[in-house]
Amino acid sequence: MSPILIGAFSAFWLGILTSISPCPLATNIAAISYLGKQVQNTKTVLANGFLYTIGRTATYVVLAVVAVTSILSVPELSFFLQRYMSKLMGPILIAVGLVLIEVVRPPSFGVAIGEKIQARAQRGGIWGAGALGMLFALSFCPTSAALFFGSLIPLAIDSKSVVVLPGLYGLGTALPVFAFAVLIALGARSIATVFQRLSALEVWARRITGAVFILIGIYFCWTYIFA
Amino acid sequence: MPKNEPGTERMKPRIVIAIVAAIGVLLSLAVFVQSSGKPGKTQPQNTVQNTANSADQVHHSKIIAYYFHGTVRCMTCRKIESLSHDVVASDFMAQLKTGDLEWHAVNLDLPENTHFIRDYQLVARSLVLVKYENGKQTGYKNLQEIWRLVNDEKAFRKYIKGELQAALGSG
Repeated sequence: MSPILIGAFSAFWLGILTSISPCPLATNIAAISYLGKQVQNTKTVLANGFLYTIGRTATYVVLAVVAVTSILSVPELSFFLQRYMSKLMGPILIAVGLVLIEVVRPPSFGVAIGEKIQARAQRGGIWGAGALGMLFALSFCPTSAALFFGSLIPLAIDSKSVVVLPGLYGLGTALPVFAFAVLIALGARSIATVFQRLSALEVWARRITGAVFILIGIYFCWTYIFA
Repeated sequence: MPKNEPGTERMKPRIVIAIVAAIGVLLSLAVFVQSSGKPGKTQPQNTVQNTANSADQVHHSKIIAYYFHGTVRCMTCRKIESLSHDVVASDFMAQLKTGDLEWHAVNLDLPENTHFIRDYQLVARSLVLVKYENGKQTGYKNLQEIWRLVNDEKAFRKYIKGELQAALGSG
């Protein structure tokens, strides 16, 4: 096997290792819940998953370019993200969860446009999946920091591939979550179709997603801010 | 008798939840901002003040195995620390007794320990073997493979043992 292929496979495998390690479990549960919540429409679930993957991949590529080409040192960048993103995650997740369960409504500017934005935000429009991918990619836990900054960045520098290898790493981190979300959505949809409760499932899926976000947000606040 | 607008009664619990949640989020942000600017908590046991202090106490060649952790310890981080410490304690007891080898767990989130990040170019929780000769640091090695091998206990132990043997052998 050529060194390029070995590097590509290694980068992808590092991404999968990051995704299946226990450390990012909380954010992965939130992501699976978010991606799979629009069970009524399989295309939307797939679009959500695609944008989540793009969001993660783009973030890792940008971070790799910044780490390799800027004057910022890799250790400082890594510890900055580990320290501060985990602390910001809690309040952000709680806020998103409250919007999803419709307890709070995002600010609107003008009635017609505001209602559209509000409806889209409550449904969690597909662009939200991309933003979620970016946010979760930036919230480095010890395992993801070690594998990205400690293993992938040196590999990308050695292979002179600062874009492709981090991109493959991003795909690796998103695909297990995406696949799991699709399986859960399809399974739930099949059960709901049998019981003719598809529209009710849609509402409950969104509420459950909101509740999952709030619980994980509380967990993050407790662990990284108050503990 | 005037009727309430539709949805008004349902709005009340929502408003209460929203207010409680807003207070929670604001409180979290306040604690976060405050904790970001103030010094860390009291140093826990086993924490080394800095490299110079350790070097001052050294009168011969020796290796210090530093395990660098954070205040929040993840499951994998605990496993790495536990397995590494176990290898040190079980396979290198003689060297620990003679002082040829020391084990120190250091919390990188404490302000007095952040210099280790620059000193050893750390990017995550790490295990670093630092070599001292006559009180001076002469080299170090960051054991980068620990994160890749942590799920294979046998390979992990073999890796740590081999690196320690190599470091002590050349000391």
